[in-house]
Amino acid sequence: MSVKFFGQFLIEQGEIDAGQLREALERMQMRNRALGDLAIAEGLLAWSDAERLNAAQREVDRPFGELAVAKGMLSREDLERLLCRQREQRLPLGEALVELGHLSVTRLGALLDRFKIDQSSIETGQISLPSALTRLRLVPIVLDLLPRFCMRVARLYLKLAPARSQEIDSALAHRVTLDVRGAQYLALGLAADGAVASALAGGISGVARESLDDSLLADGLGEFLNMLAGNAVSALDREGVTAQLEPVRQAVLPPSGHVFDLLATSGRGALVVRVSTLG
Amino acid sequence: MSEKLRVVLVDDSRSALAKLESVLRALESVEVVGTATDGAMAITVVRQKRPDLVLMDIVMPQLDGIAALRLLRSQQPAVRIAIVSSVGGAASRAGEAFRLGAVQVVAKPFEREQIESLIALELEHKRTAARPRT
Repeated sequence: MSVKFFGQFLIEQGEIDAGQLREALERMQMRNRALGDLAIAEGLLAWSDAERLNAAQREVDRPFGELAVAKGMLSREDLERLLCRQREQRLPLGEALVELGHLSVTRLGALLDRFKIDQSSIETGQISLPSALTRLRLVPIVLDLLPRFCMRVARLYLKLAPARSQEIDSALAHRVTLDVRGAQYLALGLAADGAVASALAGGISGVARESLDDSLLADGLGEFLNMLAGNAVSALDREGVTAQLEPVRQAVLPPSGHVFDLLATSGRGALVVRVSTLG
Repeated sequence: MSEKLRVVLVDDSRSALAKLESVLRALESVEVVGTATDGAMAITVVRQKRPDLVLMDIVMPQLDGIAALRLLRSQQPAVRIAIVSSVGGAASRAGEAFRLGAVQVVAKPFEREQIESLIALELEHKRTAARPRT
């Protein structure tokens, strides 16, 4: 698998040809206005200001808007508003192809889905792992995916670090475990306090946090762990290594293992990773 | 034949079922006619409800989604089955599902648009299948 952009993927799939892609890119170029153009249109910057900022960008590796704020040419509020407008008006490649009649809306949805699967590459995190875990490719994948999934599923910003203690605090009362079977046996345990558990369960189920009962809270946390492990197994599968997931077990953690602290803006949790060759 | 797409949802997680139902509830063209929490129950529910489409997880207790897909396809070949699973991104699992006759494989966590797009394709299929042949 290689990293590629959506247009390249569509050509590879035989959905469009290079001429159609070029046509769509030209349409995007016409419609997607630069931040400087938007600022000029709103009277926030003069042409000469934009030219000065463009020239400064050749010396400094900073986005146009950030540079304008740093130089006192735009306020932070104006920049946020302009960025918001730019996003709203943005024409993505897929929509450009639909407008041009090269793809149908339903086909675009299916292709975006396939592209996401094709391109969901995994970058190993920067955490230094205990030597017992470095042999298992799945572990860094899980550690890399965990904060990204917390953000994606629950808009939960979370930091992860090896724990000083192997004891799981009793405040982390919501607990689930899932076993992964392959060449090696891996048990993943997730423990969370009420804040983290309800954020994850709410995001997973779409149920308002105040409406989550204890059972749905536990189920949602389990489903989150299932998604995390499933996507890690999928990434591993792309590297040619097959592993199987077992259904989630509620209210338990692996009896021992390597513990990672999970620190969210509000609330906390722990991830327990147990490795064995006995599975 | 009903104009609505009749759908059965199969997942061992109540949260996953709730999420799927919330997406489908917003679509007037869909009626969720049943749910099941494992593959064995799915076979019973599908036999009773005769849905147009089954959205089914893979990792489940008792009978998993792949085994249930194999059985459902052999017993009720007219039923269309899409897999919605956390291991949907695994080429080996997705490939197996497609080989067994799944119409689509969606990896969790999914975006609402993916399910909407799948439903649109299935509605189109239903309308085409219902059109009298001349």
